[in-house]
Amino acid sequence: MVEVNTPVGDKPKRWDLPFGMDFTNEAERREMSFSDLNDLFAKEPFSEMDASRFPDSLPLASIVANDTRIRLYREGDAIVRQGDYGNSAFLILDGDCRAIIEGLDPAQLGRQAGHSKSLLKSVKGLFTNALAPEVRDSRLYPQHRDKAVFDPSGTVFVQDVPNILELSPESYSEARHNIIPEGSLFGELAALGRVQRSVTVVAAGPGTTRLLEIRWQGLRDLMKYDNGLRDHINELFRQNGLKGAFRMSPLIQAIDLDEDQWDQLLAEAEFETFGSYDWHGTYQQLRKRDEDLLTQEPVVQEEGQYPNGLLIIRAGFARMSRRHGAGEYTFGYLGIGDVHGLQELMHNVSTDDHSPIQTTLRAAGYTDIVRVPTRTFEQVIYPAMMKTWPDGNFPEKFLGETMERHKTAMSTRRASWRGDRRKREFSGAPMMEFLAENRYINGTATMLIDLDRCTRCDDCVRACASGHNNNPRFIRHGKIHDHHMIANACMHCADPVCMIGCPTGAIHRSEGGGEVVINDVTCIGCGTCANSCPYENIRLVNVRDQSQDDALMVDPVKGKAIVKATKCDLCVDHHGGPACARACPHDALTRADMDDLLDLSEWLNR
Amino acid sequence: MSIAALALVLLILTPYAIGYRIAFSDVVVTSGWLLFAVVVFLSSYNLRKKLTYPPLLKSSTWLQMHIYLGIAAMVIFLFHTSGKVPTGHLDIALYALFTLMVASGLFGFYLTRTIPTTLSSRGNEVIFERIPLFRRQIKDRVEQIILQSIEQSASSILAEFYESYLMYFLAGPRNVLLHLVRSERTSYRLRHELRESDRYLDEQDKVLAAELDDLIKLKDDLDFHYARQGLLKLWLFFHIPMTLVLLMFLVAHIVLIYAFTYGGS
Amino acid sequence: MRIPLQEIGHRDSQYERPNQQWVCGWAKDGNPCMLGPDGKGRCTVAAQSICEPFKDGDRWVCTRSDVLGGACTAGPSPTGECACPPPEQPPCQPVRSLRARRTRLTIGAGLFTVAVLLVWLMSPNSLTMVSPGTLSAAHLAIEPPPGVPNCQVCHKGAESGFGRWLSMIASQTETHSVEVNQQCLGCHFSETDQAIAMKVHSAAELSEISPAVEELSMLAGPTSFLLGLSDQVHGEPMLDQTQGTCSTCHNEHEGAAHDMKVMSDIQCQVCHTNQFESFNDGHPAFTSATSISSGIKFDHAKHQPRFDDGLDCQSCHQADAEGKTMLVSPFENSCQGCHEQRSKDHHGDAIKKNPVPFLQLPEMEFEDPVYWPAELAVGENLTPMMTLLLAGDDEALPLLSEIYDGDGAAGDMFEWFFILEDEGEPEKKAQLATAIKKLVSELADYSSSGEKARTVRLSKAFSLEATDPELQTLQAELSAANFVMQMFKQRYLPQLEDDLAGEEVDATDDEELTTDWMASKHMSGWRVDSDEGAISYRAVAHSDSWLKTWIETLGKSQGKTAQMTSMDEMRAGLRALMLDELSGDFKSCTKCHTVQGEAAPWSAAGRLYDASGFTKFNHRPHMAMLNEPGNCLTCHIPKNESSDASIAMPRGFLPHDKETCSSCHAPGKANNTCLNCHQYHHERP
Repeated sequence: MVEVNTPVGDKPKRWDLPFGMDFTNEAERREMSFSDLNDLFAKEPFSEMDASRFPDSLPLASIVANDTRIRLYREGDAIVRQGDYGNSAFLILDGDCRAIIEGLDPAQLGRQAGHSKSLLKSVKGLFTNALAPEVRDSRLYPQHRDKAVFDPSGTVFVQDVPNILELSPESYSEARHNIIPEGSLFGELAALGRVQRSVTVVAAGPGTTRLLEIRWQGLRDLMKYDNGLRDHINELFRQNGLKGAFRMSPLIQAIDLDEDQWDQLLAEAEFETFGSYDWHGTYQQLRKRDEDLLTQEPVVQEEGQYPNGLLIIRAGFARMSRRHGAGEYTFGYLGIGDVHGLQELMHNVSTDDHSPIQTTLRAAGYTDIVRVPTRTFEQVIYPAMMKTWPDGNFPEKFLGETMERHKTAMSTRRASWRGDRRKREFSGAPMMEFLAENRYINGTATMLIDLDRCTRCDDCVRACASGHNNNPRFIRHGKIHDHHMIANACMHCADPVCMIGCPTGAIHRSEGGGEVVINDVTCIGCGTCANSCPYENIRLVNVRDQSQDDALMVDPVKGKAIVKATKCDLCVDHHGGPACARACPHDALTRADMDDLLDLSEWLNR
Repeated sequence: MSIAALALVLLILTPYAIGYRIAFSDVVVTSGWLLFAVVVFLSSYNLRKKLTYPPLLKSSTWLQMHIYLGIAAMVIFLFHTSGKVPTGHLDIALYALFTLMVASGLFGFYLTRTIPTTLSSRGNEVIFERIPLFRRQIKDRVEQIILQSIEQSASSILAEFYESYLMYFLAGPRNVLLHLVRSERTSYRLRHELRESDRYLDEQDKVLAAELDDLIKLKDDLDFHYARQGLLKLWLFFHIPMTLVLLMFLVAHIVLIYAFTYGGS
Repeated sequence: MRIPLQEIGHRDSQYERPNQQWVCGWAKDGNPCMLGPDGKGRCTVAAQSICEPFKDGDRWVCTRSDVLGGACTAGPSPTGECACPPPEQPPCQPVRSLRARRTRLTIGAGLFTVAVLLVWLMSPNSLTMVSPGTLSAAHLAIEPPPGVPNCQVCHKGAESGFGRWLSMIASQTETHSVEVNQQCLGCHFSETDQAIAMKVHSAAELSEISPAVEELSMLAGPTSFLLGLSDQVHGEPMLDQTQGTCSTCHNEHEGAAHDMKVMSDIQCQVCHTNQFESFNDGHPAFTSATSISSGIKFDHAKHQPRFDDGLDCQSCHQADAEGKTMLVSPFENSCQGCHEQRSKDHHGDAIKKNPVPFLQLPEMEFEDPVYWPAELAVGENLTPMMTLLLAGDDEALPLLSEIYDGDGAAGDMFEWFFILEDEGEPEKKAQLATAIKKLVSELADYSSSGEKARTVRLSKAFSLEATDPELQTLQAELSAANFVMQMFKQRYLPQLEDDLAGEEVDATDDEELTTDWMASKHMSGWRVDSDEGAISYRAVAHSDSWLKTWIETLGKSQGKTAQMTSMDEMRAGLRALMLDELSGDFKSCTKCHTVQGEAAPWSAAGRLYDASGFTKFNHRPHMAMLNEPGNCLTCHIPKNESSDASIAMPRGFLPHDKETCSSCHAPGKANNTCLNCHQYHHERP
C-alpha cells in the first residue's frame, strides 16, 4: 500500500500480558490469584527462594505472577511432545507425569507420517490436481468425524496415549517410560537452550494433573537471582547439554582431549544467553518502528575488549560487525557450532603482546553461547590444539574464526569491474548487512532469485503448484538486495520460531531431512505460526471441500470458514528435491543454506 | 556475444552447405530425419515443463540443450536444404515456417537474456498479474490527492492537470512501445509539466504536487514492467503455437517424400 | 524515492496462482475479489456470499469468511438471519488466464493447420500443390500422353489424395515413386551401357578405371559424417558398387534453370575425403606419363638432334578439331619428309636388301620322271608364305608337318630328304612337287574358278571364314598378282597345265625364255629371279597393301583357338612358326610398327579415351598459354635416364608433375574443381 509513514505505537513493555492471559482459548485465560501464589510459595523451590535477592524492578512475586501459569491435564494428555520447540519449563504441582522416550508414532503426536510419495503417484498427481485452489478432502479432517477428538483450545492434545501405555504395561517400569515425580522441574533445557524437546511427557494421572508452566523469561530471572535454582539448572545442563554443545563445535570435535581435560572443560565452561528468546516478536516490532536493529542487538563480545574466553555458539545466531566511521558494518555472522575469539586467544597465548577482540559479536535476535574462559582455553584447548596440529597448520575450517572464513568467502570474486554487473562482489558487507538485518541468516533453504536472469515466467510457481494439488506454496515476491530477491518461501529456518506455540504440533520438523512442515489435518488455522514467522512465509488459506463442489469448508459447529496454514514444504513428499529450483529454465532460482557462505557467495557472484 | 559467434558459425557453414547440395539423396533423408528428431526433441521441452516431478533433469539443463540443439537444428536445416530456398509450394511454406521458428527462438533468446536486467534495475519488482491492482492503487491515491487539493485550495491547477494529462495516463498501460525501446520521454514530459506549474501552487498544493510527481514516476515504472514483462510472455504466444504448426507440416512433408520417393521401394 | 507497491505480509498478499485457468473478471481493473472463480470458470461470489450466523452463547455472530470481506460490521439480525451487505464487487464473468489463452491459441493454430493441410492436400490440383518444384528445362519439355497428369511421366501411378499416399507407404506394394533408373535410362545411356550405368563411376570394377582408383575411394573423414550415419541407419552402405540411382546425385525439381549435371567437389568428397581434400590439398601425384599405346615405335631421343634443323613438337603433333588431343600427324605429313625417299624408290637399297620371298621351287631330284624344272629349281627351302598357302591344301598338310616337325627336319628340306631316304622318298617328293605345282597353277589362274580355289585354300590355311574381310582382301591381292604368277608358270613350268591334266610331258621340252623380266616397269614390287626359280616381293610405298594385308590376315588368324580339329591344330602350329619367320622378312614394317597379335594398330592414335575415360584434358587452352614451341616440355618432362645431358629426350617422358597444374589450378585462380578434369561416368551417357 502506498503509505509512506506507519504510525508509531507504544513500546511494548514486559508483563503487558501476564502469562496466564496468554491463551488462544478464552476459557483457560485467567490471572494468577493470591491463593495460587500462596500455594506456590509454600512449595519448593519457591519456599526456598530469598525474595530480598531480587531487585526492586523485578520482584519475585511479580515474576511468578506474570511469568507462570497453572495448567490442568487429564490423564494421557500430552504436555510436551518430542521434537517440539517450547519456551517454557514445567513444575509438577500435583500428580505424576511420564516421559516417553520412544515408542510413539509421529501420527499420534499430530504429525504427518513421514514417507514420500512414489514417483508414479507424483506424476499421477500432475494430472489429477484439483482445478480450484486449496481443495481438501474433508473426510480426512477429524472435526468432521468426531469433534471430541479435536479440541480447538489447542492446549490439550488428545491422543490415544493411555492405550499405548496399556498395550505394554510392562514398559511402565522401563527406562523409556520414566515416571517424573511430583515436585520435579522438566522442560528447562528446551526452554533455555532453544533445542527440540527430547522426550514426550504425558500426564499420568490418575485424575487431573496440575502443572506450573514457567515461561523462559521468568525462569531466566529466577535463575539469575536465586542461586539454588541456578545451580540446579546449571547442574542439569552440565549433565545433559554441555557435552552436546561441544559436540556441535567442529573445533572441539577435532582436537584430542583426554579424560581429565574433558572434565576440566565441562566444569569450567559457562552457559550464557543473549537476546530475547522470542526474538521474532521483538524483531517484528522493531522493524515496524524502523529502528536500527544493530544497535538494539545485545553485545556478546565487543571489539577492543579483552578476550575473556572462547565463545562457542550453541543456539541462535550472532552478527559480526566492525566499527566503521560513526557506525558499524556487518561482515558476517555465526551459526551453531561456530567459535568467536579463537584467533585473538591464540595470538595472545603464543606472543607477548595482547590483542583485543577484533570484531563485535552481537546476538542476532537470540544467541546461546558456551564460554570457555581464557584460562581454561590456555590450559586445555590450546595445548590440545598444538598436540593435534603440531606444525601449527590449523585447518581453516576449524579456526572457525569465521572472520577468516568469511573474508575468504567474500573476496573469492573480488574481480575487477569489467562493465559486467555480474562480476561484482555481492556477498560483501552490504549483502551481509541485508541478510543479517532481515534475519535471513536463519534460513537453511532460502529461496534466492537472481532477478538479472529471472524472466518472470512463473515456471517455479507453477511447478510448485503442480506438486501441491495445484496450490503454490510461495509467492514470487520479497525483499530485494541489488538484483537478488529473497522470495516469500519458507526458508526452513535453523531456528524455526514458527513452531513455537503451535497448539497441536501440526507444524513440525519432518523425520527425514528436518524440513519444517505443516500437517494439514491437525492444523487448526489459529495463525500462531503465520504471525510468528518474521519472514511472512506462512499463509492462511480458506480451504474448499472437494465433496461439496469446491465450496468453502465451514466448521459445522461454529459456522466459521475453516482456515489452514500453508507454506513451502520443500517438496518433502516428492522425489528430486524442491520443484521450483528444478523448474527454473534460467538457473535463476536456488534454495540456499545461509550457513554455507562459500556456496552462497559462489552463487551470488557467478 | 553468443549471437555474434552463432552468426559467424552460420556464415562459415553456409557456403559449405550450399556446396554440399544434396550430395546424396539418402543423405538428405538422413539429415531430414535427424532434423525431425531434433525438432521433436525441441518441442518436447514444453512437455518437460508440464512434468515437474519426475526427475527429468533440471529445466535449466533442458533450456541449455534447447538452445544448443536449436542451433544444431539450424545447421542441419542448412544442410538439408543445401542453403537454398525450395521451389515447391509446400516446401516454401515449410521453409518459411522453420525460418520463422528459428527467428522467434533467437528473438526470444535475445529477450530472455536482456530484459531481466532492465527489469531489475528499474521500478518496483511486481508480479505481472498484479499490475492492474497496483495501477488502480496509484490511480486511487492520485484521485484522493486531487480531491484533497480541490477541498483545501481555491485554485484548480492540479485538477486541471489531472483532467488533461493524468486521467488518460493512469487509466491503463501507456507508452508500451516507448518502454520497449526504453524511452522515458512521456513521463519526463509529464513531470516537467507538473514542475512547471509548481510556481502557481500554494504551499499545501506543492506538497501534494510532490507526491503526484512520485506517483507519476511510479506509474511510469509500472508501465515499463508491464511492457517488458509482457513482451517476455508475448513472444511465446508465437513460438509455441508455431511449434505445433511446424510439426504438422513436417508430418505432411515426410508423408509426401515417402509416397513419392520411397513408397513401396 | 522508491515507494513500495507491494506489501509482502501474509495478510496483505495472498498466493498468486498463475497455474489457474481462470482469473477474476475484475482483475484487469485491479480489483479482483479474494475468492476467485472456481476451476470451471464460474464466479462463485454469489453462491458463497451469505454467511450462516453462529449463535455464540446468546448472541449471533457473523461468520462471513475473510475472503469474502470478513465478518460484517452490522452483524446478523437479532433473530439470527444473515444481514451481510452485498459484496463490494458484483459477480464477474471470469476470464481465462494469459497462459490458458496461449494454450487455446496453440490448439487453435493446430486445428487451423490441419484444416489448411487438408484443403491443400485434398484439392483437385493437389499434385501441383505438392510438387517440390519446377523441372529442369529439358525435362519440362517432355509431353505426357493426353489425359495423363504431368507427374505420371516419371511417378508411375501418381494420384491425388493424402490418404492414398499414406496407403502407398503402408502397403509397400504400389508405388508413386519414380522408378528412377528405368525412367532415366530410357533416354540416357545406350542399351549396352545401362548395365553399368548405376555402378560406381559406371564401371563394373573400379580397377577398370585405373588400378589406383580402387585404393583411392575411401569413406572417412568429417564430411562423410552424414553419409556414415546414413549407412548406420540403413544398415548397409548405400554406395556399394552395384547400387545407386540417378537421383543419388542428379536432383530434379530444382527449377528450370537448374543444371542437373553440375556437381560440386563436396559431392565427390562425400566418398573421396581423405585423399581429395581438394586438388591442391591431398590429390595424389600423377603416376602415369604421356604413355601412348599406339603401334608406332618412336624414339623421341633419336629425333632430338633434328630439332636443331627446324623440327619442333608441333612438326609431328597437332591438335585435333576440338583442340583436346594432340594427334600424331600421319606419316605423309610428319615422317615422309625424311623417310619417304627410300620407301618410294623400290630400287632403293633398303628394299633390295629386304625382299620378302614369296615362291621358290625347291631343288629336288626324282628317280621317276616328274615334270619339274630340275635345273632352275634351286631353292633350298619353302618360303613362309608358300608354306602357309600349301597348308591350305589338305594333301600337302601332312608333308608340311613332317618337314616342320621340331624333332625332325625342322623346316630343312635336305634334312627331310635325308630322313625320307629310308622309306617313301620318291613318293613324298613327288607329292610335294604336285602340291607346289597345283599351287602355282591356282595362283596363275585368273578365272573365277581360280578365285574360288584360292579362297578355299586361304580359308583353310588361316582357319578363317571365307567371308572374312581380311581374307577377302588377301584373295584380292593374290588375284592382282595373277600376272606375275602366269609369268612364273610360263618361265619355269610352261607345260604345267598339261602335266596336271595327266599328259606325258618332258621338262627338257621347255623353251628357255630369254626375256629379262626384271626390266619390266609394271612389276610393281615383284621380282622373279630368272636363275633361281624364285619369286619375291618388296614394298613399293609406305603402307604397301600386299604386305599390310598379309600382316593383318596373319594377325587375325592368331588366337583363333576354339574347336580345333587336328588339322586346324597343325595349321595353327605352322602359322605360329611362319609368323616368326616372316617377322624377319617384314622388318621394313616392324621397324616402326608393332606387329603383334590380332588387330595391328598401324596409326599413332594419340591419347586414347578408352583407356582413361575418367580423366579429360584439353590441350588447346593450355597451348595458347605456351606460345614458345619448345614449351611442351613444361608438362611433358623427358625421362632423363641417361647421364648424358646432351640427350634431352632419351626415352619417353616422366609422369606429369602435379605442381605444374596446381600452380595455376588453385583457389582464386584457375578452376580446380574435380569435374574440371574428371568425369564421373566412365562411359558417357
